[in-house]
Amino acid sequence: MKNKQSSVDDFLDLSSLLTGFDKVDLQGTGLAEIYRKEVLGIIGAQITTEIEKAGTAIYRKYRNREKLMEEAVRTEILSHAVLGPLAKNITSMWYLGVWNQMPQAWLDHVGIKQTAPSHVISADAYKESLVWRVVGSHPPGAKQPGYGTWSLPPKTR
Amino acid sequence: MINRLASIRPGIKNIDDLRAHLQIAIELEHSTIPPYLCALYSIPDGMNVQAAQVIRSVVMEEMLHLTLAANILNAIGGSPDLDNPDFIPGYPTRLPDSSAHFKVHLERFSKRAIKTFMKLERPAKAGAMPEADNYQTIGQFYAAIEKGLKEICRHNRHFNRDRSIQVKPEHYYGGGGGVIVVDDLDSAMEAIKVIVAQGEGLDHTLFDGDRKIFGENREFAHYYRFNEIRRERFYSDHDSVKSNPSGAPLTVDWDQVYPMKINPRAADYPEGSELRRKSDEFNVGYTTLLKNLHDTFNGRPDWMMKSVGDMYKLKYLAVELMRVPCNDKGETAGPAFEYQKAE
Repeated sequence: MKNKQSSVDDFLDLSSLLTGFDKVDLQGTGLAEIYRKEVLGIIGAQITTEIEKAGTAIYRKYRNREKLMEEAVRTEILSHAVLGPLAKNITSMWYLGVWNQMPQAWLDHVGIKQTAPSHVISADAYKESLVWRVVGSHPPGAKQPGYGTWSLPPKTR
Repeated sequence: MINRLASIRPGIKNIDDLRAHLQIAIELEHSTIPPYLCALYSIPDGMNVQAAQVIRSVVMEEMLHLTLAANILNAIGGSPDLDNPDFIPGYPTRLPDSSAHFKVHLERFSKRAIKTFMKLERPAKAGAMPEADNYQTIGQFYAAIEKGLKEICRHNRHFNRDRSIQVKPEHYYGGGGGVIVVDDLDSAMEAIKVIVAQGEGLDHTLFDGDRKIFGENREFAHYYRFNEIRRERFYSDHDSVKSNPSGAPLTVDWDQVYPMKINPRAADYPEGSELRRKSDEFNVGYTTLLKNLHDTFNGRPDWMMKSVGDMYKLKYLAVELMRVPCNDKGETAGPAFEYQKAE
């Protein structure tokens, strides 16, 4: 693995793997840099870079080979004692706009003494959460869908 | 668009000429909407709030004008045609100015964009009538429609009085003024008056006539509203059409804007790429909106609700595109407004 500084692009590779959304859709939320900064601030550069490197390697190696990619994410990231819990947190951050406090056992394991409590990351994080797209809805109170559109039949694929 | 305006012979001699003019009126009103929306959507939420409000107020009125022109055309037995590749001008497009033709781009909010918008909305000289060979200004064009309506539809001739095909106030919300149901010459003239007064100013004053017509608080005609952004200052009570605004400051931060590349196109990105997919998604959504509006103006006015839902979706999609870097100049993608049917 190359020892270069990781970047937002690496974070996007990782995020695309974890969320199942295309990078272009994640960029479209305008949150990639904000989320990356959040992770860096809470977890620190060392583990953040480690998970980004792992993600970007899998992303590049198995792009368009979904099954192999999924397997690699499971074995190399999700099952990893250090990276696994963090990956789950990054996934829920994209879907819910929320940072969940890391479990005490994990913090002890990696040696982080103080950590951020659970919180909503920003007003935009709520608006652009992926969960709204998945359920085919909109964030109540933001991104209005147009008066009366609730009476239209739901979109079917 | 100038091609379309130039393609029509000035002068309205019969009902077919009048209908053809109204179809072009619909196309003209539409052609300004994508450029205005690009400028508006390139302003991130919460930034340049005053400027965004001004642009939004103008674009809402263009949508009202489009609807009013369609209502008039429907009232005299025409069929508005919006579901058609030629309906979209293709950007950059050329539009007429009182002296010369000029290009209109799809571009982000900037001083240059606002200057172009002012050219688009520049009022015609009082009493300007069509030239012999073609229309020089949008003002002349509407003057011809007014004259044509008065002559061809005298004593309410040609009005079908079918209110069921008219877009009515209950279908239309969100500002820009009220929709006028057109079923006779008086209501048709009223609708034309709104289009001209909001765009160019009523009786060559700063004001757009909304107070006179809709009983709203006074509002300036489009040209002057854009001039407020350009000069970063509001008009005061003492200002006239001849002066620049001298009232309270209107704060503009020209750098608070998504760096959208000029005149984005789906073909800018290789087929199969993620950006191409997203750009296509916008184009297909936009084409679907035109189809739904077409149906709205052809017997299904209740579909306006669906169309408004489409408009919101397109807005969110446009903003997403404007956040995606697309080249090494630090620019981002943007909505292309191209005619593209779903596969």
